[in-house]
Amino acid sequence: MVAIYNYSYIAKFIFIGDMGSGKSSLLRQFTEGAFSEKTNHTIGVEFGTKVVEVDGERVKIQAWDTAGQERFRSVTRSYYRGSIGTIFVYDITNRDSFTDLDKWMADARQLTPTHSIFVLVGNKADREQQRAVSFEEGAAYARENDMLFFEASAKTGEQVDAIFLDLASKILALVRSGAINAFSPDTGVQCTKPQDPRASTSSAASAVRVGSARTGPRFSIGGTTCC
Amino acid sequence: MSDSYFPYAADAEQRLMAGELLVLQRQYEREQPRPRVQTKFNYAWGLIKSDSKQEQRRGVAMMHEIHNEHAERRRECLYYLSIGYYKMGEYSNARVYIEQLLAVEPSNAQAQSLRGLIDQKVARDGLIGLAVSGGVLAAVGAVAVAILAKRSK
Repeated sequence: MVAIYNYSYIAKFIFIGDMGSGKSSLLRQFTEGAFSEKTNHTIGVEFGTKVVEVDGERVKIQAWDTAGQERFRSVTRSYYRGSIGTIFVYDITNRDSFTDLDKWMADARQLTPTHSIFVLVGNKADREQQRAVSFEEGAAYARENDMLFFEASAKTGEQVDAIFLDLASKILALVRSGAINAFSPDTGVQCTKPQDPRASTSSAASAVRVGSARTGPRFSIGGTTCC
Repeated sequence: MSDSYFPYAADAEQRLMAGELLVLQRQYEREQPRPRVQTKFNYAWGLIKSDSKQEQRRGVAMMHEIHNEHAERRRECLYYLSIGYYKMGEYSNARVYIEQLLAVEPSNAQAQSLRGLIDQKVARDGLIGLAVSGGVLAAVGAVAVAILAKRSK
């Protein structure tokens, strides 16, 4: 078969968190390597993409960047479904953006797939002078909620790539271990390589199970040997 | 498109799942005769995201009402009015509203991205138009080129 993609996986991420925490700026820094001090609040939802190389595989990251303003909350909720990576962003100089994490957590637990990997990002780490949330507090919140944790700066670019690369690496590990089926729709990660015919029967069966999420297990174990 | 880009006006293409629009509609109906502006906005947004021209048109009409009545929601109304007209294929209207938003927020990357999509469609439709009346235009073009070429000598 001729390879029509220059990547082996597509992974869907979503950015959530209070307005002004820097979700769009982090995504812009990651995709374009650029930063602007003066930005406008996101209207509804935005979309960005980039192909990264992790653990010998090329992964196309599709990131949905949601508006943090309360008025868009119901509008953005429809974008949570099917995200394999859920990135919570707060501003280390804004205490409220940290305490509001519980609110975002409630939405994410309700709306994302159960296997979605949660990541906590304390943004604006370059502004140490105005810090209102300690590194330890952020790390503790992440530990309690089983999240990866980073302090990053969309302005300097510090730790920005690491967020995406570590998340992609973790997803790849779960796919390789068979914990996530990359041939099933709705898992938030898809393999673009041709499927190994030896595995096709069993993974087709598990795809059906995952597809009917309410009645079957959300994870399909084994089944695929691809990738 | 290149491998890496942001932002992209994906709201113009993503659809709601069946049932999601119904939830927004029911909320809107429950709050009659005086629905909250937030409820009205959510429903108008859902209608604009529909694939049905009729629903898009209703959504645009509601978005116009919100735009006229609530100054504090002006920027998102302009954005979604532009998306609504874009989806309906009314590109000149789509451009009118995105230009109004860009007049207030010239560096808004999201608005710039949407204007880019509109421009692409206009250019593509223009090419189709050219192909249709291609014979006539080709002749006119050839004459024009000949004249220009003569002048530049």
